[in-house]
Amino acid sequence: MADSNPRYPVRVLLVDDQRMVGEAVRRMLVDEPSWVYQYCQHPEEAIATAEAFQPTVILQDLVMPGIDGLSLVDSYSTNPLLKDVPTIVLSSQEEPLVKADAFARGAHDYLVKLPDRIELLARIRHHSKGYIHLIERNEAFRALDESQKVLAAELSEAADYVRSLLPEPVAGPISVRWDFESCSSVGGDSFGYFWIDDDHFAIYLLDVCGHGVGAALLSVSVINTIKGQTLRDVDFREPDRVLARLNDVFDMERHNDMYFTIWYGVYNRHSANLRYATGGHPPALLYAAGNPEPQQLVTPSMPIGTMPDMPYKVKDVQVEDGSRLYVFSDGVYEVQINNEEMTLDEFIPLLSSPIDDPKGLLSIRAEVAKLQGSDQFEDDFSLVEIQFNISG
Amino acid sequence: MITSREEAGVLVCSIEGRLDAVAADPAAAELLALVEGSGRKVLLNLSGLDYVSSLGLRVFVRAAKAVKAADGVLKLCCATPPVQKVLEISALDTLLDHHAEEAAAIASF
Repeated sequence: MADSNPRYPVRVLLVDDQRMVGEAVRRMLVDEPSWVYQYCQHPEEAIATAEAFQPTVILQDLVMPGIDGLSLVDSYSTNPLLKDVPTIVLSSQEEPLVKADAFARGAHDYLVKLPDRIELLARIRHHSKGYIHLIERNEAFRALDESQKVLAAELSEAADYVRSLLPEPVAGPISVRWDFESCSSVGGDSFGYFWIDDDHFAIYLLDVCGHGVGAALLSVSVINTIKGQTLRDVDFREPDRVLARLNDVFDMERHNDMYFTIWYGVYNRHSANLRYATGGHPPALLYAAGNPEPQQLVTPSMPIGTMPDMPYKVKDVQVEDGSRLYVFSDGVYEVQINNEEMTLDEFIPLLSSPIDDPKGLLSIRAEVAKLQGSDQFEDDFSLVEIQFNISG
Repeated sequence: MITSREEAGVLVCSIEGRLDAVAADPAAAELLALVEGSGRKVLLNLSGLDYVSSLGLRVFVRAAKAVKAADGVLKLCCATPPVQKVLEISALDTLLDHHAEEAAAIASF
């Protein structure tokens, strides 16, 4: 029952110039102690009174001196504070044309006064209940909107934090540049590169399977583990060992069923050897100078955390001077083009000639965005390019 | 998304559509419910599966673990080329027996 709602009691406003009617209605409502009643005798004060009183229903007299009751109904309908408040027109006559006009102008109901007490209470209750439900629904939507804004802000903060942990591009004999764009729901991509010692340069990129703050948290945890080289008894120059140990530490059974894919490689600047291992991750692409056909660097194996005690394979490749290496997550190419998933093979040609665009790798993202017809990516977009110009 | 039938003592589960971020968890729950109530031989027919994201792999991993925990065997068959590619990258095709034809897969149990 609307009148038993403690947050929103029934509030009845009567606008009628006849004091006698005001008193009669008051008496009709007197046995409803939770209802609040306000009587307005002067029609010119009706709008201000209604705005202040905030009724759940307005009883509006039709004929008053100096002002037409229906013009007040018009005013209620266009007033931002009152437009949804149900209005019951009270008239001394049962007149179909007037009734039709009243409904056409926004009245919700029509009664010949003075109505029977039981009927009046029933109609007030019915209309108030509908209005109170509307208020509650609007409040629920507002609360939902607020919570979505808070959630979006938290996701944005998580994305900013992940981004803050990404290393700066570097110039020099080994130069690195990258493009990273977090998807709206925050994916779990992150990457990094660092000198393990004077000779060995590590490059890695990981993709936590899933979206949201949880994925970002795991991603941060993994990159801090790698950056800090905090895996016990592991030589970070040995990619397969690193992955095997990560697989132990980040077992999905102990990490809320989350796991990740990773590409991890170590370049030896003396031997120009690149040793790499992957855990369920797409291949990196190595382009020798002037060669549009890349080598796909992948060692097929399970994503990290999915299966305990999995062996991880390692491979070596000789990096010719002038080569370019691209490491990326599947978010760069797993996009929908004409309802078909783009494949890695379809993505590769985008990287096959050196990217001289002043915007750098942004041109690749722009190209993929163009192909899918949207700037919004469903997954994180992470693309890292390493140029080997050792001889200068 | 998943239909199942019994054939020659093997529970054949056919997965259709896409296993992406949205579909992965409901599909995993559906498949686990089927697998946990079944015998020990489970075949996932992937002929109707168009796409598997890295998150979608969770469906196979969880089913494989559930079947293994019951001392059973889970096999795959009929993966479409894009799904086959994901199975290769993730080495699931080495962890789980995969056949090109359903009849051959059933006969292999």
